[in-house]
Amino acid sequence: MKQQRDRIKILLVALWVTFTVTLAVWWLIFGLRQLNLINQSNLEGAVQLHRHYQMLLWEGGILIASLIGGGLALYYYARREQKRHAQVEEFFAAFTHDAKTAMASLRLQAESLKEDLGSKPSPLLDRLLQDTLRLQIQLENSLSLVKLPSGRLLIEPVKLSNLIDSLRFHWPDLTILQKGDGTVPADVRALESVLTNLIQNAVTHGQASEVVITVSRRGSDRLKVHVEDNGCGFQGDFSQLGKLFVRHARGSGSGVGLYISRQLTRRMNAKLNFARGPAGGFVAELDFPGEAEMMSVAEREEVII
Amino acid sequence: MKSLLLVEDDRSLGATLQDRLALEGYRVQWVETKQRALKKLSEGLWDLLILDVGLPDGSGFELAREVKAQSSLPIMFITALGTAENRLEGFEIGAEEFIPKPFHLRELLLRVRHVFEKHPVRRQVSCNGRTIELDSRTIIQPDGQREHPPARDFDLLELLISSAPRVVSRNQIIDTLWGEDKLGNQRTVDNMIVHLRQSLGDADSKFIRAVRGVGYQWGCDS
Repeated sequence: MKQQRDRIKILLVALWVTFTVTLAVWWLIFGLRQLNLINQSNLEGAVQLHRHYQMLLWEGGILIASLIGGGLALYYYARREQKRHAQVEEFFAAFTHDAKTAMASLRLQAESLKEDLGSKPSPLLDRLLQDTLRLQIQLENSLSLVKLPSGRLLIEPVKLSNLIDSLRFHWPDLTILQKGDGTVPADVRALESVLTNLIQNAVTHGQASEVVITVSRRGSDRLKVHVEDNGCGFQGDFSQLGKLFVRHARGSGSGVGLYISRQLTRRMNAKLNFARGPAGGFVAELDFPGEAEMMSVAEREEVII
Repeated sequence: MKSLLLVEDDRSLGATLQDRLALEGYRVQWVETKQRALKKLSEGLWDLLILDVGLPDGSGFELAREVKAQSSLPIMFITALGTAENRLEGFEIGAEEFIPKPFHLRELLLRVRHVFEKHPVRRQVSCNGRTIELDSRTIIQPDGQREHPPARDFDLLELLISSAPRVVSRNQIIDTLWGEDKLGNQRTVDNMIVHLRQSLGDADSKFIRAVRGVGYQWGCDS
């Protein structure tokens, strides 16, 4: 897909050069012929017309040469830009691979140590694990920010309970309650990124100890995912939330997480809104379209059993 | 015991994963390259292939395609490449799971268990009136009597069965059973073969054939 786009760009450059040079050549030939015609019928001004002929020939030639030179330069810079872009992408792929693999190893070793300790409390390891999660979220957000305009999403039916269950591993000390369940048309990694950012914000900025995720039907074909925490909530201007690089206070984060969450949600044809909870906590509401399949809490319990 | 082949080029991650999976009771072989993985796959019976996508000598996707063309071995990808295109490619190949790095240990173990639940493997070999249950590590005699050979002896038996009809050299047996510790020697291997033949009632070396100067071969055709 990307290669095809690159080919199209180069083709457009080639087409532009061909078109403008052909047009200039045609104008030059046409102008010279016109002068010849006038010259044949107007012998008195022959000397002056010859000078005009020479002038047109030289100026036309220089114009065509400039066009060809400009076109070639444009082609060269377009190619160079594409190569540079490919190198940057390659670097990012290698960097991501190395960083994520190193992080996986670090986390696995910390979790292994924690498992070996059994029920013995290990605050150092807990902090280390939380820091790997913070690092992971920052890395994922940075990559998402780079890839947001061009990155493809794979929209498929995602069962919310499966995704929420896998998120619980990130915050073993946080209570994540799920009420109701459903299947939404989403990209599983993008939705995971949205929910991870929301929950991490609740933990980091809201000091929340509990997050309640309520899934309910809205109308006949929409599904609402209501994420509410019991933290201290957000004291700033809600209309500024989700704007890129907007920081609401010192140490309030990079201003990227909620922006990415909103953009990813939009790309999944869903909406993300923020509000203050009735108990003062932070509320985020995701509104999904499509054939959202609902399951009652009772059904969900049956599935687990 | 279920056998897992782990293909991961990162040494730190590979070693940790191998240790933790072994602690969960799986027999784990860890290799770092596609070529070594192909060799291991041709040498034995495997229940699950855990595969990294970015390998030094090729792509994990290529390896998975080769494996799926020949067998129905379940495959689980662990990868730092989590783009939509990568996930789609993984699932198109027929992977059971696609776990993005960095993952949690408990999550990985849960998904491994989930794959085994979806693909229950009950492996047993019948030979000349006797049944060898590989999962319960039991030899059932013609009169119904159940025998449980020592763990290392059974590992050797499993290795011979999974490698058949290939002859397994004594050195390879030592490498597989004792790994880098090298505590075993050729005399120990020969003694284990004697014990196994006794357990199998294999007085005339029909089940476990000795190939002179090379090693041993599982010799039951059924």
